[in-house]
Amino acid sequence: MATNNARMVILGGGTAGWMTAAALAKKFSGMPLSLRLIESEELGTVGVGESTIPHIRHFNQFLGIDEADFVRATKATFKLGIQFRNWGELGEEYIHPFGSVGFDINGVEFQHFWVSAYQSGNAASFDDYSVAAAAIKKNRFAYPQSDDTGWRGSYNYAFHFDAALYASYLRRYAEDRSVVRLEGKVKHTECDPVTGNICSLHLESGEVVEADFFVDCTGFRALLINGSLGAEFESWAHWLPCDRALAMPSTKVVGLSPYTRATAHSAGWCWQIPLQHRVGNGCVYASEFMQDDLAYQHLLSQLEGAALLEEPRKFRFVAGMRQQQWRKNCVAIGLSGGFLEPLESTSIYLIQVGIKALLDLFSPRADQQLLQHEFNARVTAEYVRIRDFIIMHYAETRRDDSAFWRYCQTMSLPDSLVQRQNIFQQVGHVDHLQYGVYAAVCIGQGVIPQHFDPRVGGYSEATVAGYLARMRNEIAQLVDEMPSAELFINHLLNNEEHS
Amino acid sequence: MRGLESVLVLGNSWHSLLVACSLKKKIANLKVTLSYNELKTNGAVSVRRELSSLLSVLELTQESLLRLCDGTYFLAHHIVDESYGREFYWSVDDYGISDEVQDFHQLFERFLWPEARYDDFCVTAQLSKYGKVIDLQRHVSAAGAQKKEQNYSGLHLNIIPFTRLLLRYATYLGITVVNEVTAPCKEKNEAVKGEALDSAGARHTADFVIDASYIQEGISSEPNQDVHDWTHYFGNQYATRLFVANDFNPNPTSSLVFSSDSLVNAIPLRTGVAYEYLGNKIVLDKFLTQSPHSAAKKTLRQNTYGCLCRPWQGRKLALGLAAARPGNLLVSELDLLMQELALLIGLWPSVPFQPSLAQEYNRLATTLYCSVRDMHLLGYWLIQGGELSDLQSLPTELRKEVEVFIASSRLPHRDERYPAAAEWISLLMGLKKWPIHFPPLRLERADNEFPDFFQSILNKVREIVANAPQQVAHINDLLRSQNNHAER
Repeated sequence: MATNNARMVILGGGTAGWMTAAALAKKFSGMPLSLRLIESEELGTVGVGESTIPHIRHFNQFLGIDEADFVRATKATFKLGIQFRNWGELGEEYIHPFGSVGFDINGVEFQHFWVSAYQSGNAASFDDYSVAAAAIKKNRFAYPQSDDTGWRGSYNYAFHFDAALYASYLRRYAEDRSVVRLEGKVKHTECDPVTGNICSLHLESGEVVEADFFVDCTGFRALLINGSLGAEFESWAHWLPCDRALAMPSTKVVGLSPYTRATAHSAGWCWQIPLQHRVGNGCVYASEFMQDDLAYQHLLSQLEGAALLEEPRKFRFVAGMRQQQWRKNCVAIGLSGGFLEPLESTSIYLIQVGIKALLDLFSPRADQQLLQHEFNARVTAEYVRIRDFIIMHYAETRRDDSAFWRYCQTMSLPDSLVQRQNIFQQVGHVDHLQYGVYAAVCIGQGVIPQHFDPRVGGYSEATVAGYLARMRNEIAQLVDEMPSAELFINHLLNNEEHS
Repeated sequence: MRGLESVLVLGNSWHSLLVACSLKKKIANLKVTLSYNELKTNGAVSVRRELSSLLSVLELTQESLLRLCDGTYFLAHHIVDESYGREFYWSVDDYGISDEVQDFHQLFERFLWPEARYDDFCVTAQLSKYGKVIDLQRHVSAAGAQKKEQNYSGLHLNIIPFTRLLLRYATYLGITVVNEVTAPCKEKNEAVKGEALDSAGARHTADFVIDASYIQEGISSEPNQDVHDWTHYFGNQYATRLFVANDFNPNPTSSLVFSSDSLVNAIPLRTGVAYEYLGNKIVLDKFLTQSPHSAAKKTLRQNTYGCLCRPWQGRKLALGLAAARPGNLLVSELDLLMQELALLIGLWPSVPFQPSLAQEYNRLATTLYCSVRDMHLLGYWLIQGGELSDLQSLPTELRKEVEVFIASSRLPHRDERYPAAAEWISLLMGLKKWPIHFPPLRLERADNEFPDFFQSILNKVREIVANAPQQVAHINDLLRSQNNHAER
């Protein structure tokens, strides 16, 4: 690898490609590193992840993007959480809110107080103690105040946006910072016969693009990491049997909702993602349990009177990941590295995980094998953590109304998940990486810990009930002060226009 | 299934007293019985990372605890490497915190290495160097970031008054203290069943047994209990402790002095200095023979290192020195014990016992012990020259820490890291184990602006230190004001 003026090529210009290009351009601006991105307008992109989690804000802040500008350019709306319907049981629903649920009391996590109150019949639903969930239920939104140690600082938000517009937005950003875009399709790659490293990409136009380091953002095709370097894919389909998705946009028929909706059906689930100008709809299903046309019919039935804007696009996928997402001189970011269904809106987050690890570890002169190993360890740990979290939605169900759900109830689970679930069921303990989110989803699915933290025993039932009642009142007051999500975003956009 | 109603704590030192008090304080309706045969020891115990937890258990302020236990403030370790002529002050505080880049050490390496000292950029390191102290509850850090509700100072406490304090507090909390128990062997066997007999023949029963014994000869080895033996990593070490009264240093700073064949840990207390000597047997025998402190109790013991594979088995749990000896120089026994207690409370069992809770505790505790062990081994390895060729003798996880840091200036992903990553990095940087390669670093200012930037940080550190009182004067003022208050 050259010691000076290292050359990097990103292959693929979808969300993953342009996010990677923008982040590298930001971090290494002015450094001896040339960045080129090859994409072809003939090839479509998957347009992954219209729905995000709050980490996307950190990414945008790192790039220095103005939020209002971003909201305008990507037709974004604000998101406070995910509403899950029919997951624990038909007819049930709960919210995975962004931010905390309740407040810790004297160092004891809130869920323990809630379990105590629940056992004595004094608790409302768990998500009623979250500002984000309460705002979702009333379609309200206001910016949290991060320096406030009270309720105003207790919640968080993310965005729904048009992924294709986001990619275009980041393309402008990256090209303004010296990233060179090349139009073309790769015909074949050339590898060094001794090291096995990729040396160059031969385009159909005849152009040969050489580089020291390659980033594979070619989506499911995984042209470099798999096609050229043969990195093996580890399938998790036995735990996540859904392997098809239909996606289509529709018109808006109701006001903006500050949340993503995930409604379980007999062999998977459907999503609804509200944008400024349309609604993203999709149906994820297991082909072993549901025919394509039935899935299509199911998706149509979810539209609630909205008109279709495009015919559905169909995706086939297998849940899993490449065992090595950094192999030789190539890193896979996005779908080329792995895929987990977007039930918890983690697709773009997983792109960020790869980008963050690359930014941290990319060092052209260092021992590449060591860095590869570390990169792969970091990314794998995060994939596995999210995998287990998604599997938990399927495994912790009482639904037995279809063969699919009966399979989910009885399927074997990863040991890591079994252990975590055992611990939560017994004592409500959540490890620090999953704190808050895990409790909200577990309890929402109907998993109530049998015991609570012994320190809660020092409080009388009436005291605990009083704490909880006060929390609900304070949250209700705060949410009542918030404008509707639609009003808030209109105000933001109008102010921008005026300015 | 019912909640745990009673616990029997076994022990002979402040460890078991602290376990009993912590449990009783946190879980008010728990019946705690303490089987306690005091083993007279002197010396010091330090607390830094877990000071706020300790104060919360004892319902004391930092100043009150300092006064009651002949304590001094603990801001940083002075690590001295006599063999290689190096020394630096190792603190848990931020080193040259900067909003501009996430990792100050990268800026330091790029612009200041090798002329500057890393610890010049840390407030608590410099306070320690000059024997000073400030109210750290709210201070302005080096680069101007306002610190809120953080306290980076710890305390050194005299074991004897600390033990007395805990014993009185245990009684106050309503803990049943069984002073005389049956013979140790019987006690152990009975304890596994959750029972202890006192000298009057009274039987004390409990749902759960916690062994928090201070065992001189190493971690307990009972039937069916496997041990991870780490002694080979540390070498064949002997140790002795010594307390020298009336040896109060006007600049009280704890120091770790490494030489080619021994290590001296000196902890200043208000009434003297507690020394711990480690080294090979010949060196320590010679030391004991020639020591001028003839009145001091001199016993030599062989140091062993390791941990129980399953500290929690059935209805019995080992904590503290009964469970693990991962080293105590860089992470104190008290800090580690408070961590173990936090793990236990988070997985508090019910009856009948669920194996999965014990399994999870054992996994988390072993990870914690390995992390602390690795921190100590890192210190030893660095002091012995930090040669990459010696890396093969280190545990795999630690080897990876060093290799990745040297290759990329980053620490590798680790599930549970204790102490925090910043402390690992400051130890590496302080002992001059620089990364060979840094990721390309993009900076918000021009290179020629950095000298002024660094100088402004240094100026702020110096200003804070210059305006801080000497620790001795500060402690004396504190004692005078508390005495006056008591008289009134």
